Amino acid sequence: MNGTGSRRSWQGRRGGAVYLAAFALVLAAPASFAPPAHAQPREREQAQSAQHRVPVEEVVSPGGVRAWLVSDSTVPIIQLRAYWQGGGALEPDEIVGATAIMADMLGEGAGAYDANAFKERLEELHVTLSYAAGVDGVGLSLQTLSEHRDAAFDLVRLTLAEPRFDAEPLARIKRQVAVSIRQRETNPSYIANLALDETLLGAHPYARRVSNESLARIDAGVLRERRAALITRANLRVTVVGDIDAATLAPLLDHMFGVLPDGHAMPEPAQATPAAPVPLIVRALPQPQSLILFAAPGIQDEDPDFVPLAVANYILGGGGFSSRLMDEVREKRGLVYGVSTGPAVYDRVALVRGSAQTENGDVGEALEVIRAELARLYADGATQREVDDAIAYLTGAFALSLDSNRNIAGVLHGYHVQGRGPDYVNQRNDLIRAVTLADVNRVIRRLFNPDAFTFVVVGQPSGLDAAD
Amino acid sequence: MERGSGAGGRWRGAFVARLLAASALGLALAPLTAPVARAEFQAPETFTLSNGMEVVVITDRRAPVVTHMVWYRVGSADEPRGQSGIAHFFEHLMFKGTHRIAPGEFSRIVQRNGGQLNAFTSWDYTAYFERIAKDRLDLVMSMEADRMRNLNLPPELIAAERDVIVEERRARVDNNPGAVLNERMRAMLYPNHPYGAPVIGWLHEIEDLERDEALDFYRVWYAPNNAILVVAGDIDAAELRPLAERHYGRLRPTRNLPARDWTRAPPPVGPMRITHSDPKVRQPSLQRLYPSISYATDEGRQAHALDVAVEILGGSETSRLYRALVEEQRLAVSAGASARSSGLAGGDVSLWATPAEGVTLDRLEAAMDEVVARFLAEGPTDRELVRARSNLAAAAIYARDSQTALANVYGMSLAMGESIAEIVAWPEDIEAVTREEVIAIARATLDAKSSVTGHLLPAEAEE
Repeated sequence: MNGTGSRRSWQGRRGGAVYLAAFALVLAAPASFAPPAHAQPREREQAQSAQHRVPVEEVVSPGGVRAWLVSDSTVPIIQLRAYWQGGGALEPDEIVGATAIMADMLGEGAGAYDANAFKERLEELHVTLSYAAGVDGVGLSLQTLSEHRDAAFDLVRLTLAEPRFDAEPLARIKRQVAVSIRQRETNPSYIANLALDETLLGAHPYARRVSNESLARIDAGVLRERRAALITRANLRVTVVGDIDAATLAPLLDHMFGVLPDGHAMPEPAQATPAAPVPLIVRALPQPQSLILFAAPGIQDEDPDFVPLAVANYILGGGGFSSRLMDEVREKRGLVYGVSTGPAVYDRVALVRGSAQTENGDVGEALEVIRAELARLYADGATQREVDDAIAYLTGAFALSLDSNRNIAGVLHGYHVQGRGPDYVNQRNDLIRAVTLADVNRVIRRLFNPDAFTFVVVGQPSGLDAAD
Repeated sequence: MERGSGAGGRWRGAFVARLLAASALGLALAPLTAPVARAEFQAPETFTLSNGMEVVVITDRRAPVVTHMVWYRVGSADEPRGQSGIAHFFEHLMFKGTHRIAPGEFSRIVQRNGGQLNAFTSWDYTAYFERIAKDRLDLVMSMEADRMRNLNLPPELIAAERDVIVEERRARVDNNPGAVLNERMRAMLYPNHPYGAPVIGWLHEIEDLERDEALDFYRVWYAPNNAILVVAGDIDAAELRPLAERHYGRLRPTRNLPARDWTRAPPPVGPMRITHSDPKVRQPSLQRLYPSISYATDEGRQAHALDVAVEILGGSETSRLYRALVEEQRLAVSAGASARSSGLAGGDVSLWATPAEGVTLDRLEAAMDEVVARFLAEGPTDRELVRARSNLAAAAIYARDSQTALANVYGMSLAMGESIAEIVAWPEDIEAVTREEVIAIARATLDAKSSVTGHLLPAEAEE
């Protein structure tokens, strides 16, 4: 699914690697020493930040458009996010890639503005406005200064009411996609993700990629059809954060989104059931360092175990510098710069995934250590101390992701898209705090069975037998 | 432990990230930012401790959290010859513990208290930061102050950390033919100058770095009189001052800090060219580098004018390069330019393009040269000038949304020797840039005689 993006990452332009840590911000992780005396007393208390709350209002426009709003006028900036459920997975095989190009083309001119005039207008207003599509949906992201609010919202309306789909920018984007199709042939992240998706998801639409053949079939007519099917009021979620109040926003919601047809909820793609794991898949690529990806079946975010999974994952490989995998693979052995794991959730499939990069000659050892750590966690479970540490971090650090309008918009809109309620952001830390060691160990038994993982290696690993 | 190149105008991290994402040749960068608003923009509070440590406080009360950063005026350009990479290696070693904190505990304690942390190294500076609840600020200040002077490096940890850095280098550079080419181009752009060596270091020198060399480097440069403390978030100077005095005020300064006078590059002798071929390259690409002035070395508004000039030439999809090469002539699928205008000893300007199918790099390069020549001859239109200036200045307003962005801007700019007043005045100075200033700095900088041009090619192809 890499290459089209998941619903969690549609802000990225097409072709971005999704959860792969090519530039992992990675630091040193710790061995098990007693903390210094000065650090101990506080640990039993909660960080002050764990109580931070975000006031979310639900706004309903006169015309019935709904939005979540956090109104804050500290800085003269407004962030707006919109999401239409239904994305690339719904397009027919013949035109794979059409939804992503349609989304790009919504930023290539509207109304009286051709593509260049439209981009100049955005620059003159200092507005960032972009659309992007993933397999599950299409997203809009807008950032504007309050002083240009009305003009910026006018442009949103224009892109929705009168997109142009002009021949020239479409031909340019198709040239760019054609080049990206060539470039991905030697992109290790692309190769590894494709191998994983094809192995685990087989013929499911999530495993498809744009091709030269499908690209050739994409024309303005196809784009208009995709837009008409997907961009409606039936499947729309809107989140606004910043220098605007509910009374001001309500009529502007109608102004922007009232131009859309009512539409109807999209049929969802088929449920994807991950196939049986393959212990090791190797794809040759001439480079000094190999990329390792691994994945196993996961759970959806509405599953009651999803919150304990956040804690279990922190302990295994999600904890930045403090995880079992970082300790064993990086700190003790120096095999990698970064190693990390995390849940990957799409509307119709969920996985637990991980990644690492290591010198070709060390791949065997790195795989051994990763598998051994999975096996140890699976057999013995986590410790109470690990669970306490994970909860302390996850609850205390949550406010760090809520320290700017832009960050609040990202977190809140993510929950909105997931189908959470508007107050979930203020309940989330309580849910994390309620996780017990038994919950974590249950999730570990459910999801971290080492035999459930498929491993993919891309590079020139030595001493590996792909059939082992 | 990220390595940075400090790219772009000071307020423009988002923009630079966009450029680098688009460019196969871009280097990794430090997390910079975007800009400031005119009258509404407030200068942060500042004070200096008795041992010489500068302190900057940027108040933002929206969330009960703070960003705590310590910037050191030392980077890879200060490395002894033959020890490239030691500044960045040392950055990693700073997480290995002190007499009070056991190896690896530094990160664990911060995370256990709900905090995040990292560090980054550039040619000109090294910075460490924690983001954490305000009520844990005292804790991270005590730990950050402790490791400024009291590091304790167990010898047995050195080899594994060196291996980590070798893997970091492979991931960032050696696996990526574009990054390999860029590294060699910089070596040609800066012969005999420390900017010619990669921040992460040359592989063979990283492999030889030793504990004692790292400690020598540390003892000289890691001192309060060579550091800037920046705290942004739910705090003001009155609250911070007693904490800063307690934790940092007692640290002893380094007497006679060495001057940062680096060896200089010889004058250019004409255009230089380099090609690099690799079997992983599926689509050739083109990059051009020119040495330039920077905010630290310029006179008047030259660096501001350079940022404006490069914005017009290649800063967006409405720029000269993108319009001409990608849209009108259809010779390229991407094209643009960026200025690294922040270096202590000068900056550089990068132009880049990826050809469309069937277009040779020579043809594309000739077309790029024409765009540059025309820009130098005609200068910008009034509309281009107004748009570029106000767009750059607006980035300063957007930066006000992020305490971390502001902390980065002030920390980096002060580490480069600029004053608070200069940083605060930046949007106004950008808006004041004239057409003549843009033309003058563009002509002085975009001179083929001082340039290095790189062609990245598939293994079997001939040009």
